[in-house]
Amino acid sequence: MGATTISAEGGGDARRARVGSSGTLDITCTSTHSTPVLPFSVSLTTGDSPFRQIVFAATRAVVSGEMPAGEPFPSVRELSQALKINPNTAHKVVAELVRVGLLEVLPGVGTVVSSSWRATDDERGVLLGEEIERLVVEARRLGLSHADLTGAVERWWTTLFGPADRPATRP
Amino acid sequence: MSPVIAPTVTGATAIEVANVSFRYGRTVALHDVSLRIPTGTITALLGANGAGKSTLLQCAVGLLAPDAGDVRVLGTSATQLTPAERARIGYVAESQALPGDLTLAQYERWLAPLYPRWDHALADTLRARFALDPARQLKAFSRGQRMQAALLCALAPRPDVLFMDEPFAGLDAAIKDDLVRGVLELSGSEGWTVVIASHDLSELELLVDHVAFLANGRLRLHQSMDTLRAEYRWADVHTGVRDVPLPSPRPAEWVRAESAGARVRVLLRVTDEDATRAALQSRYPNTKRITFDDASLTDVFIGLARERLDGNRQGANT
Repeated sequence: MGATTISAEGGGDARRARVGSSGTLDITCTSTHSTPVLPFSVSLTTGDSPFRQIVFAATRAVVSGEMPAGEPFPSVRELSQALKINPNTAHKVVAELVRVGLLEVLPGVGTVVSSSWRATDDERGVLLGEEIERLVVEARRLGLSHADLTGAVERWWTTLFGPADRPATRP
Repeated sequence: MSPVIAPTVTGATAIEVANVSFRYGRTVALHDVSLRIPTGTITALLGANGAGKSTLLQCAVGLLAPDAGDVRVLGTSATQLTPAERARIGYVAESQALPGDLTLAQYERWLAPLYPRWDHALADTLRARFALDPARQLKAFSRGQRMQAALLCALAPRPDVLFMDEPFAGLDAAIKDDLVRGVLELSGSEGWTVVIASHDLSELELLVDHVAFLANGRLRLHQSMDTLRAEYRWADVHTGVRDVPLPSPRPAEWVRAESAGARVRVLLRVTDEDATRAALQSRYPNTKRITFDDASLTDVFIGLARERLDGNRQGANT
């Protein structure tokens, strides 16, 4: 009956960390034997919802063109095995990506990256409205300048999609 | 009556534990434990060593008969399972006894006819994944290989319910990875239910969707991971009174409480901030401010584990 050793990695800080930040576990490097390799990279941090982390990673891969239209998306079982996550979580991830239109189910083929994942005007409105507002407020709270913020947006845009003046390669 | 924080469970039930108590002589291993495990979920059964996890699993597979209460698995009392029903239930224990003089191939050949759904292809897949030599005697296997062989023999029958007792204890990370992926080989099966006993949530955090927590033979929490992640939070109460005492006994819904100066920090489930705020305000009438902050899973489980110490010295500040 010694000391209790209940523990979970990742304290308060890790919970708030974004995918890809330091101190994360790179899941894609641990593949062995016949483990399926995912067509997108995701580093899961413990503590934060794996569902949200994986949906974000897959979304990033699709909108950046890393996963082109028509490319097969891993099955629930492959996703679950590759990331060692709960099959129900894997199922929810696929269902969510289908729901938002990034993936489509082709009968007889499986789930593939959608050929047209255009969003609705409402969805755009939410991003340009309250979500950008929240980002701007948070930037101000952290003492960032206008130039810091627009510079960071510019850099991320370029990293993910190439120079900003280039027309979008996706539909 | 131990207060249990339980989830809203919908859908079919794979395992129903009803008011189970078990003693070893004068030692109470389980005290009035009740929980319902829904079909198609993976549950972590957590608790310190000696909390009652292994006893509960052994009651669930019919190796022990409870002194009171009943465990029903797939609708049948665990003490009355027929061989056919037993074949649908897999069990892997930490120190799995295997017939050491048999080779793995001989052991598989002996087991296969006992299970109507024995899946030879799955056995082959797992053997290759684990890189196990079928011609080798089981006693020549390393500890990790024995665990892999035990898992293979528990999965090949394609059980509807799988119980695992500390399957990863003392194994290196690569073997753990293999075991988890091995377990997930069956994830496509319809309505497949898994219960894994462990003293360490970190190795299961991504794998499980529900958590049950035992302390001193009592069930203290049974909750979905989604709820744990989203709704367990710290409420930081600026009470307006210096050296304010923590209530004794602690309210059942407080997972953890700390006090420092005029501040009281309470870890609890918050579904409605205003309601929680009102409840804390009425307990501490001079409260000036209440703020909420995210809690980590570690925070929650430290709170639950520590309670077994606090139970005897109520009101002690933690």
